[in-house]
Amino acid sequence: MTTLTYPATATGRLPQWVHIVPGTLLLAVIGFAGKVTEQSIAAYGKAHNLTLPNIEYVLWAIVFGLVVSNTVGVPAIFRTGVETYEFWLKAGIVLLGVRFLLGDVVKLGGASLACVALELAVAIALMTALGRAFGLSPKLISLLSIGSSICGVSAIIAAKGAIDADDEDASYAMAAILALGAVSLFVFPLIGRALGMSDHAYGLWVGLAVDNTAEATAAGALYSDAAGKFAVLAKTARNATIGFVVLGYALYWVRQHQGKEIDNKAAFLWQKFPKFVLGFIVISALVTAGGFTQSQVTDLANLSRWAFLLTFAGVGLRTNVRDLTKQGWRPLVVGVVGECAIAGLTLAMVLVAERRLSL
Amino acid sequence: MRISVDWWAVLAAGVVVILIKTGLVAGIPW
Repeated sequence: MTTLTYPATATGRLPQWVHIVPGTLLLAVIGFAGKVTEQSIAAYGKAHNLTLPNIEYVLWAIVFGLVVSNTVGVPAIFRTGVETYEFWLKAGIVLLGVRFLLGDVVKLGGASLACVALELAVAIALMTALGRAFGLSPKLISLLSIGSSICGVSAIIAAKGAIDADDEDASYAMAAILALGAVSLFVFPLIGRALGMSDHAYGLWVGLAVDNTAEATAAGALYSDAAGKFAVLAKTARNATIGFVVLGYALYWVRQHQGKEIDNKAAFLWQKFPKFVLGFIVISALVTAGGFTQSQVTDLANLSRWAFLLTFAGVGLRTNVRDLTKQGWRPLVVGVVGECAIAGLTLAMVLVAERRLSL
Repeated sequence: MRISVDWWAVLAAGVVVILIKTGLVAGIPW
């Protein structure tokens, strides 16, 4: 699991937490620039009686980040801080719990989990078949299957250690997942609009089909605030299964005598479980119990939005198109074909659920 | 001591909740 060490010990000339300041400020500046751009365009349109398309701050923050990382690059001094985008994402999700009553979490989370179970089986079967057809190494197939069925990069990192996979295989799998995540940011909202999907149905689809949590959150928020909320819930339900799937693969590779032995399965599951989900549930329980006034709920929801603002800037800043194209073509082909098929199948699943369950 | 990002996120959110609940922080704009 990824770890950060702030606030850290002052082993160098400067305390380690100081190193995250420049990059965090960069996230804030880029994210805020996105917000200002959205507001400025809206204000210009209003002042000149023009009907301009409302392009959300989410897209501006990602695009500004992409421009920086793919032109001048992210200087070394900013990199440690830019990596905190994961912290902002998870803190934002915990605080987002304030916008869900516990009953909704159970109901929607339950429906999402049922879809997740189906998506999981389909994604693993599909990626395994495609990987074999393209002659990928068995462990790369495992990593791509785990990454596409559960939660992208976190799942691949968790599985890499558990199944003793090579660094090269892991970076291939992560590159494929990240490349497709970046594409999904632009394609999913267009498809959602073309099909006239409701916020709920679109959010569920994004949560099921987009693999990386940051990209799923962004792709949801690009559609609407409510869609972003549902995307996070569906994706969080999917993330919660990470321990079980990684454990399954780890046990499979142990049986093949190519993995690390697991002594305590319960401890393994707890180690892999995304703990921020617990924070999300606790805050949701507190709001359900009437623990906050309306203004406190608004404050917490706004803080969640600010945290996501930094996350979206980080999504753009860590996406380097050149790095993605440097990877071999075969894993990318398997990733593209597999992900497109998964996106299509989950879309069909959600459209059926939308009709049957009136999402 | 190394603490995972997940726990840092939960900890930070907990601190924020306490600050808002006690009224020390209020009126967060968006």
